[in-house]
Amino acid sequence: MIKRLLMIALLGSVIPGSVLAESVQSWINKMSSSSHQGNYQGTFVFWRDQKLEAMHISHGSKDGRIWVGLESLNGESRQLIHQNGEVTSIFPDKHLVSINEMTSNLPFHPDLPKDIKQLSKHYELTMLGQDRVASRETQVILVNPKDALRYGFKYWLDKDTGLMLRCDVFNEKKKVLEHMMFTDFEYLQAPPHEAFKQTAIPRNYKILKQDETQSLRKAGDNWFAAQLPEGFVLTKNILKPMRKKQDSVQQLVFSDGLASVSVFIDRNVVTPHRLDGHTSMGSVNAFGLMLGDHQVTAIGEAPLDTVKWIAKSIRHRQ
Amino acid sequence: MKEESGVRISEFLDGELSDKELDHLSRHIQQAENKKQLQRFARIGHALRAESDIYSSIDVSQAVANAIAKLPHEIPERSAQPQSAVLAMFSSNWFKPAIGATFAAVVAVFTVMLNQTVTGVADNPAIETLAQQQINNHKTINITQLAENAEEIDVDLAVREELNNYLVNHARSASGGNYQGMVPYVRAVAYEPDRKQK
Repeated sequence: MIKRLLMIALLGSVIPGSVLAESVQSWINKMSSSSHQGNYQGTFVFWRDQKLEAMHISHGSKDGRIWVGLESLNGESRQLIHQNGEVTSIFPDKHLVSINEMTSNLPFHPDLPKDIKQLSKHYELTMLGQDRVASRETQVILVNPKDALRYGFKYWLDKDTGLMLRCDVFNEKKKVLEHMMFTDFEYLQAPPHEAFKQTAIPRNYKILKQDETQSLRKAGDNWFAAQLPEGFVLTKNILKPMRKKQDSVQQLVFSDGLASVSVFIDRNVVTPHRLDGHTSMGSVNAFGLMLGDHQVTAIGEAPLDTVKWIAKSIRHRQ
Repeated sequence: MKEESGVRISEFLDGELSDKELDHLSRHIQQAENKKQLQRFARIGHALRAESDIYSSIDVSQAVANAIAKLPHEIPERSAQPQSAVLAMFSSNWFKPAIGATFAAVVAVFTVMLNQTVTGVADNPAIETLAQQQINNHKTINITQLAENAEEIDVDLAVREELNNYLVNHARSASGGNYQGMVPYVRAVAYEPDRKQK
C-alpha cells in the first residue's frame, strides 16, 4: 500500500501540469469530433425543468455526411431527423411536419474557439475519475466556469471513442439544472439507414418549410450587440418565419462554444402577451424588453444575468 | 407489436395477466428484439432510480415518494410460475418501484405543471440605467447588482407559449455551434410539447 502511495506521489511530481491539462483538452476534442461522427443508436433520459423525457437516437456518418434521428418515447409523439443539413421535425399528434434547411452542417462556427485552449479562458477543465454509463466505461470531465456568466458542465465520455454518454449542466451553486444520460447504447458497423428512411407524408399533414440559406441573405446587419459578455461571439443572424407570426422574426445567436443565447427581434408587437422582464425554465433563462417598436427577447441555456446582458446590449444601426 | 408488448408488460406488472397470457408473454420476450426492448425499459428504470439524488432537490420528490409508497411492491403470485430468464428479471425487487417511480414522476410533474407560476422581473429602471451606463462605458456589468434588483412578475400562458416557440428555434439554431453535438437537438425535441400550435 505504502509502495503504491509512493509511486502515485512520485508520478504526481514528475508529470508536469501542462501534460495533465493536455489530456483534458484531448478528451474535450475527442468528445467534439465523436459527437459528429460514428454510427450508433441508443436510448437516453433527459431531465430538465422538473420534466423527464426518454428518447431514442440513431446516428450515422459516412463520407462527411451526417444523419441524426431522435424520437421521443413518452408523452406527445415527436421525431426529429437531421440529414445533411436539413432538419425535419415530425409531430404525428399535431399532423405537422417542419422542415428546416440549415445554413451550415459544420460542427463549429468559424469564430468559435476551435482550439480548446481558448475555451480554457472561461472554463476550468478537470479530469475526474472513471465511471460506468450504459454498461460502458467512461472518463468523467468537469468543465467549471471561471465566472458567473456561464453554467458548468460535467461530461461522462466513452473511454473508447470520447462520445458523450452523460451530461449534467449545473449552476454556480452546483445545483444540477439539466441532465442527460444514455441507458442503452450500441455502436454499429454501418449507418442505421433504416432509421432515416423517407416515408410519404400523409396528405392531412401541414408542412412548414424554411430555407435558412434564403433567410440569411435577407437578414442584414442592422441589429447588433453593443457589448457581449467575454467569450461570446455572433454565430448566426437570420430572418425566420415563425408559427403565429405574420412577419419574420430576426434571430441572432451568440455562443462561447459551450453556452449559447438567441435573441429574437420581433417588429410591431401590439399584443399584450409579450415578455417584459425575465422567466426561467430549468437551465433556460429568457429576458424580454421593448426597444422602440420592437420586442427583443433573449433566451438560452445561460445564467439570467448573461441572458439579460445580451438582451440589453442589442442596438439598431441607423 | 411494440405497443402490444408494452401493454402486456404493464398488465403483467398490474397482475392482470391470465396464466395463458403469461406463457404467451414469456415466449414473446424470448425473441432477441423483444429482449432488447425489455432491457431498454429496465435500464431506464435503473437510471431513474440511480439518479434519485438529483430528483431529491426538486419539488416533486415528496409526491413521487408518496406515490411509490402507495404502490403494492409484492409481485403477483402468478409470477412464481415457470418463466423465461428475462421474465424472471421482473421478480427482482427494483423493477416495480422503478416503474412506479416513473408513473409517480409523471403524475407529480403534471401536478406541478398545473400549479406552476412562471415569474419574471419587471423592467427595473435601476437595472436599465446601470446596464446602459456600463454598455456605453464598455465596462463589465456588475452581476450582483443586476440580480439584487430583480423583481418578480407573473407571465401568462400566451407568453409562455411564445417563449417555447423561440426556445425550439433556438435549440435548432444552436446545434452545430458548440461542442455538445446533439444536445441542442435533444432540447428542441424536449421543449416541443410546451409549444402550442395555432
